[in-house]
Amino acid sequence: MSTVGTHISKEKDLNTQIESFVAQIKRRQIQGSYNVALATAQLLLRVVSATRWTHIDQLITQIKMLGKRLQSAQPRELACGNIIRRVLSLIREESEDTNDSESGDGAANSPLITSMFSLLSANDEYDSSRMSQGFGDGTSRSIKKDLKPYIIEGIQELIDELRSIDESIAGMGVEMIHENETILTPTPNSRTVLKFLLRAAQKRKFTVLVVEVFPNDVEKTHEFALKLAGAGIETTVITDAMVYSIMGRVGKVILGTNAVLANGGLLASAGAAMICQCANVHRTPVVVCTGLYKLSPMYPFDIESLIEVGDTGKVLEFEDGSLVDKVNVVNPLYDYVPPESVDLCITNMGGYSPSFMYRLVLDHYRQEDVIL
Amino acid sequence: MPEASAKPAGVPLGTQTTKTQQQKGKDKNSAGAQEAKAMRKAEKAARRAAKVSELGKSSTPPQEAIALARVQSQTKQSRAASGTSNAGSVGGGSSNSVVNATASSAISSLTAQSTAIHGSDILDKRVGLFKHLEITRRSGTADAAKDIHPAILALTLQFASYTVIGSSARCRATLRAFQTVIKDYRTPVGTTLSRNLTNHLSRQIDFLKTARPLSITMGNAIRWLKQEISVVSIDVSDDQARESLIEKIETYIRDKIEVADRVIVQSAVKHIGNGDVILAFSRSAVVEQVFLEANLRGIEFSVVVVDTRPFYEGKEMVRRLARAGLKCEYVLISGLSYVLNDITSVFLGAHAVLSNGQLYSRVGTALVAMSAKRKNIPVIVCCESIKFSNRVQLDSVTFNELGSPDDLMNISIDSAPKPGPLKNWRDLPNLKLLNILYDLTPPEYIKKIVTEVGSLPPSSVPVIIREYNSA
Repeated sequence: MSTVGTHISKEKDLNTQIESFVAQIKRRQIQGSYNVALATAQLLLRVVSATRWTHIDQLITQIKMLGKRLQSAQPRELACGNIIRRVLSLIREESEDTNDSESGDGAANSPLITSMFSLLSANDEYDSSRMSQGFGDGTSRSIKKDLKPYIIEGIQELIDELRSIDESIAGMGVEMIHENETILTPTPNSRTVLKFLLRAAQKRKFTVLVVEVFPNDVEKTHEFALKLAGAGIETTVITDAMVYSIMGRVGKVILGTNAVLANGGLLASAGAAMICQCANVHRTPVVVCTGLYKLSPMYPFDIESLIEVGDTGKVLEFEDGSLVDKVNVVNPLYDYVPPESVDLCITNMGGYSPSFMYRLVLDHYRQEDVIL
Repeated sequence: MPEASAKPAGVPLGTQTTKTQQQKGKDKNSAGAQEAKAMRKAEKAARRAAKVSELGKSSTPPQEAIALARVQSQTKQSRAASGTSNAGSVGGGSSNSVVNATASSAISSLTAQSTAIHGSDILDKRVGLFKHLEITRRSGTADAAKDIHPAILALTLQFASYTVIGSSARCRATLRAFQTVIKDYRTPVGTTLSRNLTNHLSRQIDFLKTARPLSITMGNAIRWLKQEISVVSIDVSDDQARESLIEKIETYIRDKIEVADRVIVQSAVKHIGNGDVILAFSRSAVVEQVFLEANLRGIEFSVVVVDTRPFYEGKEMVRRLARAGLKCEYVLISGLSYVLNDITSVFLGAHAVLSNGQLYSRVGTALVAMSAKRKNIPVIVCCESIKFSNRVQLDSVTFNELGSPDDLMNISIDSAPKPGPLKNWRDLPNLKLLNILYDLTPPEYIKKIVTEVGSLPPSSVPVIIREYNSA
């Protein structure tokens, strides 16, 4: 009886944790894709360790349900869904591995497609064979026992990966920046870019032009400039409007992003699309620094629904009543940057062309998890 | 800002002269005490400078910047308060900065060393690429020579505080001030008007330049005026000559700005149709008139005004358009690509159009034109032919105008200044703020330039200049 009691209280505890997490991302108390990703991974760790399941599919459905809830809480923070999908694919992988080793029938289950012929036929067979295996043989109990520590270990690894992401991206800074180069960054609220530049500054001497991205996060922008200057980097703050006039003197545009979509397009802070376009016009390379957790399997079919609109009081003060009444004020927070505007994505797995992003999506997510 | 410029600078003149006279009187009465005070101040400054050079960096912002900020904030506040007493507020602001400037000029004249150090300190804060451009922002008129006319003094302060802003408005205000100068001008014995007045005006112009560099329109107008003065016959009496010059200036303003604007409006309004969504950047007086005219004609359209820091000129335009009942949307330039999807055409104003077809206009114009061109949205420039310049230029770096970098430190969006995290930016040796006022839009982004002599592609600008100069 006592074990059941603790289990119920554990589940209750878990439910309150999920509730509070949902509330936090709804109220934007957790902000920034990194923080959301990390918090999601930690929540999943707790969920997986507290949940009991008789079959792996139960766990998958449960996590999918959770993912749905989290995503509807903040539909524009893609990092949350990405982490859920990463964990799902991890669970599926673990379960398949055990299945493989147990059934000893690795060849039939192998997702590797060896010939063009099997391209057309393999999928159905593959699915049905797995389904039958899952329900048919009585191995589920043993799977459950074996899998939990592996899954937890996997999530733990994911969390470690998240924590070290900025470090591994920053390592590439020296390869990207040459001596005396002028760098322009249109996303000064990005911690990845900050670390990237700070690391590069240890080996190289260069100038950074910081674009303000007024009116959102100006304080952060200015503090970013202060940090760079404090680290001994020549820093110049410019307004958004000045980008075109100075772009001809810029060596590289380095930006951070909120999300990378499967087509290689970005969701970055407002103004980024315009600035990247300006860089394209001047044939200035555009480099994106991003952790893989920002890579989303979504395609941008409806761009406007992805872009969040923020506080208009930052654009036009509400005290100016006569104007606020009559004029429609807009303050978009994000911009969609098309993949053709971007030259290179630097991830914690190395540098890739944006046209290759779809492949990384296939590597990290399962097709069946794309829609939660 | 046609209202501000149309107003004769008579209001501040009185206060201005009395202030300077009082200043002079005081100087005469207590010259000794004043000098001693100045000496003491200079000593203090020298000591401070020595300390500064020891430390290798300065923690005190330059005097000029403080005085300037004071003038600006004062004018802004009073503008917000009354809205109509622009000219008066400049007078009020100047009285404050006059005192400040006397102190600083006394220091600078007595201790050349300290100013040299201070000077290099300001230089250090200049962005490498733009070091060839000078910041010419005057904060007071105390060091003005005796023969500078009060109307010019007032105008100089209005320019420096951006109270009078926009190239046609500045041109008009300058010409009106010159009318007053010519009216009060008396030819000294032994010279002729046609020779001496040009010199006299040149002195006034040099003083005006200490506030901001001349606009292209001002340059063109001044060239024309000097030409007119030089052909004044010796046989004509002074009174007659003055009268005819004032008359000619009046005609020039009417023809080149007012009538030109009306013609441009009539022509440009044809490009606005029912259901159009038109994008405008910052503020242009003539573009604003085009919209108002289209509204009067009952065309159903809406305007998206894209604005930028630090002047927020677009706010003034959107205010006027909204007051006239136009459907308006207001967005800062960072949100440009978000609003661009629904736009049917872009209307831009100009500071100048250069002989190689480049459009020299408020910084940000190039970004707007580029984004529009990328989406195949036509870009139409409304511009009086007085803004055409013989100059050629390929990028925005070689020639530009620098604004005060401290404008970037202020992160407020209304008239009350609010210093952000960068308020101590002058203390950090590696940190610089760049504030340039103009940029260059390449001709390939521009579909059409509407002028009073017809509509033309940017490549035809030199044709107009040649025709115009030969006429």
